[in-house]
Order: sequence, then structure tokens, then C-alpha cells
Amino acid sequence: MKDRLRYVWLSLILIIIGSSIHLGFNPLSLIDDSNNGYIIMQELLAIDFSVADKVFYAVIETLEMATIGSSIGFALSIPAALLAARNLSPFFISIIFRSIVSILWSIPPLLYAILLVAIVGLGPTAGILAIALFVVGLSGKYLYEIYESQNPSAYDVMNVMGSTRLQKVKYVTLPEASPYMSNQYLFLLSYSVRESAILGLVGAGGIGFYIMQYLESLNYGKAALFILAILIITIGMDYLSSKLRNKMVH
Amino acid sequence: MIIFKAENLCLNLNGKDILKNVSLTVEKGNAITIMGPNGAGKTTLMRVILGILKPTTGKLYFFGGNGLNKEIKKVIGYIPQNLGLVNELNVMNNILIGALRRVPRWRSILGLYPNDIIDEANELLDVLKLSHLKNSKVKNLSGGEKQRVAIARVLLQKPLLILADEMTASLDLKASREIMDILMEMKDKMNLTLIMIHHNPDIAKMYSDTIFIMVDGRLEKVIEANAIDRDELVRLYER
Ligand SMILES: Nc1ncnc2c1ncn2[C@@H]1O[C@H](COP(=O)(O)OP(=O)(O)OP(=O)(O)O)[C@@H](O)[C@H]1O
Ligand SMILES: [Mg+2]
Repeated sequence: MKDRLRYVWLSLILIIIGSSIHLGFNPLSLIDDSNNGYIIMQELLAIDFSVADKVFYAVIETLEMATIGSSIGFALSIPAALLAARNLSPFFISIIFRSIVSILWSIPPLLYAILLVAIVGLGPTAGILAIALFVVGLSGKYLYEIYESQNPSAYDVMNVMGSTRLQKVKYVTLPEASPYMSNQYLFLLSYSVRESAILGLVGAGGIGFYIMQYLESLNYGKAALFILAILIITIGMDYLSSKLRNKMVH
Repeated sequence: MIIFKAENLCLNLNGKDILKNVSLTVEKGNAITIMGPNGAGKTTLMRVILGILKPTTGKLYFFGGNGLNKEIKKVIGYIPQNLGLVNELNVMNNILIGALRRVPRWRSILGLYPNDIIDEANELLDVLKLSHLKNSKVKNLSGGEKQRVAIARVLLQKPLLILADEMTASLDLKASREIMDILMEMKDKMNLTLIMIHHNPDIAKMYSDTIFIMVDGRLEKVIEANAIDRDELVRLYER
């Protein structure tokens, strides 16, 4: 048993070394003189505060995008998860909704944003929709697993009485899942703040939009202030949401 | 009058015979107890009677001749082995689950129960000494309080037949007797029939008319509860 574990580690190391050679990956290139890393670093560190007002609006826009997108996504993920849960839904319906949720989850938000910018044009609408679609997948998957793992004996009692699906959802599924669901919502809020901060890179609104603009025009100092803003709101939201979640548990 | 009858129930799950030719008759107004070692098939028998599991062969008759249908389900109450309460709901809302089938569907979905049902629920809370806990979440209750909530819920259903699986399992003898005394009082008042599972021979002897001993998927022995002494019961049970 111990020997087998050693082989697993050994082959993992070999895979990593092999892949690095295959891709020509060399971490030393980061500090190589022939690269611009040093110069860019220097320019980024010379943060230009003249764009502070723009940063303020971009931060607000990003927070708004994240809140709207994750709320829509979370709200839609509840019925999707109820229809996907094997213990609540007829066999074929549950297969259909499990697939929908898995597909939505498997596509990263940035990819949604690229597609949506092509459909609805530049701006936060594309970003909001991108967040919402991904969150339906992410939260839907989590929620149907919660619903399916609930104690079956309350359902037995309802089944013996001949209750309907809707009655079971109202009296067992949703109340028993409610602590997990409010936790999940707070997590999604902070998660999607981080996601929507970068969606602007492809033109879907928010902080990323400015970063892309300033990087392209080689205004590294200005871009740096926006990057700093991402850092602050991401860490801030994470702190806030974990604080709130802790409060709800106790 | 025979209220329930099972004929030659057999159940095979994944190639394993779990119930072997079980036949059982219950008279209206009787309290019967099924006893037997862990894994004998007591819970499984109850789940077959309740229609949660389908027997491989055999027949069930309720109220003189009917199979399990929607109308019959309405008047059969169930207290499962771990009670089946909704931990995140308060005591009142747990009890109201018992009345789901007594009100129109839209009322149950909106949670708008008519006043007479609310009054009945309050009366049950009173009888079961739960009034002061009405608004507490079930997850914060003690074992004995939870058992009483489960009883109140099943009684609000206005059942004719109640199946209760080890409802005093986690309680000491004194608390068990308190619970069983209340249940028996309600049984007389509401003219109930009880099918119970107990492990405690004292409780079984005290609170049932007939005891069925189940061993390895078979009903081995039927005893009139007042015709035996405790030691005999313990011996039969431990064999
Ligand atoms: N779904 C299932 N598939 C296969 N075997 C099962 C299934 N459910 C129960 N069994 C088996 O059936 C047998 C009877 O189980 P059951 O729960 O009815 O026993 P019990 O008499 O209620 O025991 P206890 O006193 O511990 O509650 C056990 O051997 C159990 O492992
Ligand atoms: Mg059991």
C-alpha cells in the first residue's frame, strides 16, 4: 500500500517534468534580462492615482454586475436543481436538468462573456448574463446534491400520506436546505465579484474593461490602480461573506 | 372487525430474502407490537405495509378488502424509526404537515391553514405539553420533545391506523412510559389502531394486545401480551 503510494507520487513528478519540457516551460524566463518583466513591473508599481474617479465608478459597476448576475443565476438555479434532483423529479426530467446544469457549469464565465458580447454588444449586460449563466450551473449542481442527500425519512412520511411534489418541496426540501442555500448565495456573491472584475477584458463591462484599455495604450501606472482595486474588492468581499456566513452558522 | 391484513408477504432485495411469507391480521382498535433482533426485517415489513416498498409476492388488505390507494393513504399515519421531522421548521409547522391532506392543495402550498385546523393543532400541542415550544426549531429540541412532536403530527392527520417504528428508542423507561401513556390515551379517544415496533419487552408487554416475534424475516410467534410473563418474552426475543 505504501509502495503503491510512492509510485503515484513518482509518476506525478514525471508527468510534471515531462509536460514542462513538452511546453518549453521555463520559470527562469520571468527574471531573464532579455524580457520586459522588470520594466513592466517598475511601471506598474508607479501607480497613477489620477484615474481614481474612474476606478470608483468601475468598482461600483463591477459590484452591481456581480450582485445582479449572481442573484439571477442563484434564483434560477433553485428550480433547476429541484427538477434535477433524483428524489424529487421524474427520471427523464431529472436527466435533462442535470445535463443542462452540467453544461452551463462546464463553460467558464469568460467564454460566455465573449459569446454574449457578440450577441448583445459591449457593456455590462453581457457581463451580467455571463455571470448568471455560469452561476445557474455552479449553484444548480451544488443544490441538487444538497437536495438529494437530505434525510429520506421526512419524505417517507410525506409519501405515505400521499403528498404532492410541491408539498414535499415546500415542507421538506427548501426548509431543510435553507441554511446551505443562504451560505451558497453569500459565497456566490463574493465569487462573482472576482469573476466580473475580469469580464471587462473581453468588453463585458466593469473594472477589466479599463485594465484592457490602459494596458493596450501602455498606460501601466493607470492599469495598476484598477488591478489594485480588484485586489481590494475581492479580498474585501471574501472577508465580508465569510464573516456573514460564520454569523449565520452560530 | 379486521382493519388490516397481510397475506404471505415475501420481499427479495438484491437476491436476499428479507421477508419470508409474512402473514398478519390486525383487529380494529388493537395495539400490536412487532419485536425481534436487529436486522430481523421489522422496519422493512412496515415499509411494505406502507407502500414505500413493493412486496415481491403477497397481498395487503386495508379496511376489509382494499389495496393501498389514495383515500386509504390519507388515514394511515407513520412515525419512522428516526421520526422524519423537518429540523429547520418550527414545532407548529412540523405538526401542520400532518394536516396536509385534510386541506385543499392551494392552502397547503400557501401555508394558509383554516382556523379549525390551527385550533386542533394548538389542542394537540397542549395535550403533548409542547405549547411553550410552539415556535422553536425542531433541531433544538430534546429527544423526548421530538417524539412528542412526531406524535402530534401523526395525530393531526386524523388517522385510523398508525405505524410507529421504535418511537421510544432513544428514551429512558420513564420518558418512554410518559410518551406511550399519552399515545394510549389518544388511541382510546380517537379510536385508533396501532402497529408498533419496540425493543423494550416491558414497553411491549405493557402497551400492546398482541406481540409478534420476528426472526430472520419470518413471523415466528404470536403471543397475547397479557398471557405471558416478561422472562418468557426476553427468552423468545434473545433466542
Ligand atoms: N434496500 C435494501 N437492500 C438490501 N437489503 C436491505 C435493504 N433494506 C434493508 N435491508 C436488509 O434487510 C434486513 C432487515 O432490515 P430492517 O431494517 O427491516 O431490520 P429491523 O428488524 O428493522 O432492524 P432494527 O431492529 O435494527 O431496526 C437487514 O439485513 C438489512 O440489511
Ligand atoms: Mg428497524
